[in-house]
Amino acid sequence: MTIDSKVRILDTVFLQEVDDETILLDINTQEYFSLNEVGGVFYHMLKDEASLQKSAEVLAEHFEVSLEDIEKDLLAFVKALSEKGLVTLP
Amino acid sequence: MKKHLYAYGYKLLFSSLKEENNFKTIHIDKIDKFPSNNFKKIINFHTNQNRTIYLKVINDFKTEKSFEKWLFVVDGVISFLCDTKTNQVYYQKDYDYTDERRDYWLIHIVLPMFFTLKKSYYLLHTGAVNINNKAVLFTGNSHAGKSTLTDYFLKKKHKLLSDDKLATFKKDDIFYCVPSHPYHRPYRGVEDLGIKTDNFDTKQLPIDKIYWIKPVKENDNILINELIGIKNFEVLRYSTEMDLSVDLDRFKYITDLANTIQVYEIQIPRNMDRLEEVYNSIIIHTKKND
Repeated sequence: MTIDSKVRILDTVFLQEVDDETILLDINTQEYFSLNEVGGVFYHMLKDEASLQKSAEVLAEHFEVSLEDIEKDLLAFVKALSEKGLVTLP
Repeated sequence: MKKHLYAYGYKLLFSSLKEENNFKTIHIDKIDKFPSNNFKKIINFHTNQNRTIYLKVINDFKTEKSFEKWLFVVDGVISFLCDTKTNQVYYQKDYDYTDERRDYWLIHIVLPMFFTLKKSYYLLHTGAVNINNKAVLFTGNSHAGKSTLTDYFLKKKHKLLSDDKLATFKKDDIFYCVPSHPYHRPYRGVEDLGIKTDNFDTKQLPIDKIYWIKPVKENDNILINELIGIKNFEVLRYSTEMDLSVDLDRFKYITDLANTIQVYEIQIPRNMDRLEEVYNSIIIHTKKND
């Protein structure tokens, strides 16, 4: 996976906010996960913007950090989501 | 076919609520043999009361249609054929049947599941009592002490809302619960409804707080801490009725409840002599955090 990859969030995964956390539920497996505030922002970005590159650019501006740093964090985040079966990488 | 007149506490669900909740009566009748059906899919539940129990549905349990008709089986005891569209439940006896067992399974599993699948109410597995005209709920793992605590509040003259399964719903941004059945079980009995109590509330009440019981050693302190985020959600998810999977509607309901009602963990010493202390701690806490 590279920053040029495209990510697809599964149709069976739903999110809701509880307090400052984002809760993800996979309806198929009934597994649920919690994302902190930053993870929640990342996840919402992936939902809205399928391109990792574009997501990274928006997030870098949002968090006021370098594009290089945000790309590294975003790739690690997507890898973790992928390992939990919450996204697919075409 | 003989008509069975059902007159337990769940009747209150219909008398105390408005017609917008879709129905006022569920008909429960005995039948000698179920008509032929096409229930092909079996959903196995955890063993309950040392019985094998399972659900049979027409097809995959993922479409609205598949929730309308289903068969709940308590192996060797009784089967319930339920139609949530017509509000009809038929039951068929098996070799180990008794009227008491029918009532137990109906009250504890079938009706809660009926309301859940009909999406009329959201059922929580909690004890609940009236404190200052608000509902306070006690939940926790099996053997955590839900019934013991609920029973102690009854002894202190608080009205019972439920000893085990509580119907909840949201109206005008407020979460309410409905008194569910007027029985409490200060002991562990198998397939036993428990002791009927007259000290039972008959009106719907707003839900005030939920306490997750965490048993600790007999001499430990009683501590109360608010749960937030995923911990809050987990308590409510765990307290969800039965082994039914969480669909999107239920997911939204749980998270809405989590964002609206304060959920606390209460550490309760495993010591019956300290129940008065626990009682006082909860009373003070509910007042302080009103």
